[in-house]
Amino acid sequence: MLRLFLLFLGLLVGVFLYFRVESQPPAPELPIFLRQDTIALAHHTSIKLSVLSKKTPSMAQQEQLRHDYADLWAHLNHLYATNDVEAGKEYYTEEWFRQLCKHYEGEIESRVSRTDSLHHLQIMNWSRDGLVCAAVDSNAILTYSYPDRSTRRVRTSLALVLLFQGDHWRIDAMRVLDEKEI
Amino acid sequence: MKTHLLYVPLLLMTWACSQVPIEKPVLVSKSEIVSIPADTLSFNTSHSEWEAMLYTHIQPLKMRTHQANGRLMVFLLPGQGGILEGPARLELATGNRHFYYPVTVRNSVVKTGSMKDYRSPKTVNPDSALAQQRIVHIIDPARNLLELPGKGYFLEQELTLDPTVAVYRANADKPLTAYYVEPGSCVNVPVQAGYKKGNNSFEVVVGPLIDRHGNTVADGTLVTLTLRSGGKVWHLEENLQNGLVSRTLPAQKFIGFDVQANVQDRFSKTLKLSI
Repeated sequence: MLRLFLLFLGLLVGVFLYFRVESQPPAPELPIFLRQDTIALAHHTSIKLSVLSKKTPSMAQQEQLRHDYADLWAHLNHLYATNDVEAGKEYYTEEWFRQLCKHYEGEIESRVSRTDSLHHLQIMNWSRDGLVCAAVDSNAILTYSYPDRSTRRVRTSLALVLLFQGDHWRIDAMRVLDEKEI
Repeated sequence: MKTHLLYVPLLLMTWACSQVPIEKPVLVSKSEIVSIPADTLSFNTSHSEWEAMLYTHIQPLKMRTHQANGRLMVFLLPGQGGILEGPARLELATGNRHFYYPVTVRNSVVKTGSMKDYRSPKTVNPDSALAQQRIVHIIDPARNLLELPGKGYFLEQELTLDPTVAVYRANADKPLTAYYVEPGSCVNVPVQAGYKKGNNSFEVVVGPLIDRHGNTVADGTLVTLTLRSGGKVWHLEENLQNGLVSRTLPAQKFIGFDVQANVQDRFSKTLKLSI
């Protein structure tokens, strides 16, 4: 009799614990400023900045652009290798993100990877309110690594539109102007 | 037992030799530029079960494959939207073998780019300046930056705005491109005072207040009426509405008073309240 009672009690506790765990609300998504961007932290590149625009951004604005542009490339490289559209969404405008999602069929196993070692970002237009930046990256040195361990190094020239939204520069549009193997 | 072990490497070698080496598929189309999704890339290959991936400059795109009569067709399904144009690499993979083909991709369905017209500042006060910076880009739905006719990819202009107060739009059909010309400060402060016999009072009217471009001065602008009599001074404050301020003063109390209106540093003439 006692054994039955203990079994019933154990069952009751088990059911109680099960429903308690089930009813827990999902962990809330942390705001961006509390999250650690491991992809950006692991990324290192060198960015030379030139100002060719009529309006010259302040040194603090230039530093933020340099920092965000480096982080953006960390995520663009990650996206290139994995098609993980979510990871870098803080560095994409809504329309850029929508465009990526049109071709999203799940993440892929990383076979081809890309690293960026050098950039020469030339600011062509800088809005007086500091929210729009049009730039040319005239000397992006990119290295592609393939599954057979071969690599390909290219010098790429890009035209970009970056918008300051939230507390980041985000990519809104791009045009590959030129690419040469080196 | 030792004799049996000797057979193992022999078997392995036999198995290795039985594997047919996979030849790199030969791209039939020799065109360097591939229009997506209209073009189908065609390869000659004896092997089957290929998977294809197109690495654009930004993102890997899974391509569809169809194989028949020793020919592999690789294509992108229409309806998936455009792609970021430029140099790309097509990957053909089977098992652990991967082959790469350099291609230049562009969108076969040319969609009109939308013009992005950024203005700064968004709010202009004609007292200070009517200058506004304009930055223009054209971007297609696939986020390709397009050339502005005869102007390259970037255009920046300095505009002088119409001083007429209004909410304007850089793009007429896009409310988010709105910018605002606000009224400036008044140039003169006209004032009138009249006696109303019916309720035995003076009605003091200030206005209409207009800025130097003829715009009515903003609602809520503080107008001060200064009343003086026998060396004593009183201030009455009113907010402008539709360019006017009106104040009724009882005649038995304010008769003989001097009245003057001012908005900041702009003063009206002085009137004497009399019947």
